Amino acid sequence: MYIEPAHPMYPKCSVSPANTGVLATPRSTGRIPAPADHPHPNMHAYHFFALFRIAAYIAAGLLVRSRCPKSQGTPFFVVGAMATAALTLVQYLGLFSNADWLYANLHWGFVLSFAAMAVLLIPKLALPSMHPLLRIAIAAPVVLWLLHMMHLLSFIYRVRYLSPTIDLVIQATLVFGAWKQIPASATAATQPAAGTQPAPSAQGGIQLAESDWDTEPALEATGDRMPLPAGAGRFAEMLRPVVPAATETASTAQGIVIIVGGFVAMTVFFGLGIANPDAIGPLMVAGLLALTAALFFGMKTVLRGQITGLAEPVRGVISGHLQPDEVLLALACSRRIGFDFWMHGMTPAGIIVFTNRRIFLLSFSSAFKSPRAALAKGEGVQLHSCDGADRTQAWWGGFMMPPALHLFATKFTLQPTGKEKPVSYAMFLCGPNGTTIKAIKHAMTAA
Amino acid sequence: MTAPSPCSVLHAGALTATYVLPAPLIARPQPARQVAGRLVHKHLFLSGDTVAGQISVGPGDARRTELTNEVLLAAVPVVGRITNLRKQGEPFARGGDTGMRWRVEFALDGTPRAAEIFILALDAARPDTVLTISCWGDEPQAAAAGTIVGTLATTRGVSPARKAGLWRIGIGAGLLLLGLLATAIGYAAADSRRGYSGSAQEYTVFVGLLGVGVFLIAQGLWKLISGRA
Repeated sequence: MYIEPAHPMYPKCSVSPANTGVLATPRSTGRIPAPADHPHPNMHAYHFFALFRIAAYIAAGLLVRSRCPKSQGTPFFVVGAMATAALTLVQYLGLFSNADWLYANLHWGFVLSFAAMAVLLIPKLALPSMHPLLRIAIAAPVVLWLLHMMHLLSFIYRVRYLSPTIDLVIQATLVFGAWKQIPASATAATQPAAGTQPAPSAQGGIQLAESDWDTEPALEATGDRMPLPAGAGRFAEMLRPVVPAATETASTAQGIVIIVGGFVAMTVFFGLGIANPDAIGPLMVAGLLALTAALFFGMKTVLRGQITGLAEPVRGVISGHLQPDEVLLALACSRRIGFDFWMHGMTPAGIIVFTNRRIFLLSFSSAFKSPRAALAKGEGVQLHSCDGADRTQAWWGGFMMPPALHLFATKFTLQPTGKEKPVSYAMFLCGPNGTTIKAIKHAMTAA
Repeated sequence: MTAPSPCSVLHAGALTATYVLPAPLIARPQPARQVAGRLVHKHLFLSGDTVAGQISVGPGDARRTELTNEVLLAAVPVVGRITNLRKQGEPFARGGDTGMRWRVEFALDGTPRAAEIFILALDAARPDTVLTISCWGDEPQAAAAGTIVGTLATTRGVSPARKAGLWRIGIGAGLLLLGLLATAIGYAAADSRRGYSGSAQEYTVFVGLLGVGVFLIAQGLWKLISGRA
């Protein structure tokens, strides 16, 4: 028996035997049957729609949360989106097989979830500079539901797949709108505060001044230092409470030893489990736990070891550019996100150096050359300076690919002056530098 | 400043400049920097811990008969108050290198200093890119710039983007060949089994390798032709 699956919010209209040409029960529960239950070849399309809905609402929830974590309406939207995904999953999997009343009333759960998401349409609870597509995608289901309640939407159900296709378009719009939503940290005003230093010349950092003893103008030369950005004073004010990170001492070799140790421990536990069939379950679990812990701590140690190895060459490069009152706070070996992440692997694609006046970015052109060699030769590496107080040049947050990176890293995007496009980095926060960078992030996002 | 130190090499895009530094100067390569939308590649010359000169490739005009303060301070990045500034320039030509040679005298925080600056055209086809060699300090230290220019040799190679394109074509061709080889071996084995059993045998076409190979070749060709990274 074929049942066209229910629309999440208005299940009574989901059954349209006259138009689908297939049988349907007059009292549909709204569950999507498994493909094996029915030979109808188009059944798989509804699985696609359900899975797309689950993925879309989870993605939208994560995106909105990462872009505007402190907005008042964000928790409502995230709860609503996650609840929609969860309810769709319940509907899709056909869980609770003996609870038909649940499926008969499931649409009320969707109504509540959509109402929670619609909270973002209230001006006081809306996201800052909310993207129009996000507004449309949140408002559209509400409008459709109201039209449905007024019995104005029956024509939709006369065409197979029209209703789920409309849903799909709305969900795609929602994800795209959430993706395009400008992070809250980037929407703050970028006007330099009063008292910021004037930007010196780009090439040598010069200022013309009146000569003390001659009518000829004298030159104030500041050497080979990169000039401070316009917002250096404001950035220094933001980071006043942040203290420089302690020296990193971990080594990459230690991390590799820990990882190898984890594999050895797993093998030992598995061996013990095979030798003692009575206790095979706990021993295997213990082996997997040992491996997981070793991988976690080993990777962290490897990342910290990279910082240890690169700290000195980086200090050597940066020290020549520091102004007299400029102090190096912390540095991070960061990976570019997306395809570059996979290409670069464990090689840092960018070293981000925080000082109390600005952010330096050392970007490497090749993933396959040693960053230390690149720094020593000055080949395949570029040095940029970013204004940390300018939210169009440096901002935190956003969605990372692969999404699992959110467990270990924070997204940080930089667009130094002269660069056409911003570049996003996954910043792994571990060790003393990670602690300091967390404090810097807090100071930057709170400002 | 008698015994020359080993050759130093400055890579700047498709340009490779080789020079020999007179002792006790040593070269310290710097990361490339964006200046006015263009990249500047630079080596600093150190005498002990003091910066006493530099060689750089970046935007500029070798034919300019005026040394502006901005260009001067980019070529002689000292720290302090410069007064009593005197400049003297003359056209310079040596071998294929043409440009301007500047002698500069100034007082740095009251101490007399001299500098010698060579601003040379990198390429007749690219007059807006120059090679700058400068040394400063006392008179003999400033004269080191002339010594370095005397040892300078520049070669132009393939642009980095085109080189990357060629590499990509090579990798793509390798993958394509590997895919074809693996497919051919599989086909030959299937053919051989058919010979024994008489029934049709299946073989695998390594579509992934072939597809990635073709994709990389196309990407490499694009880089090679467009010259963009």
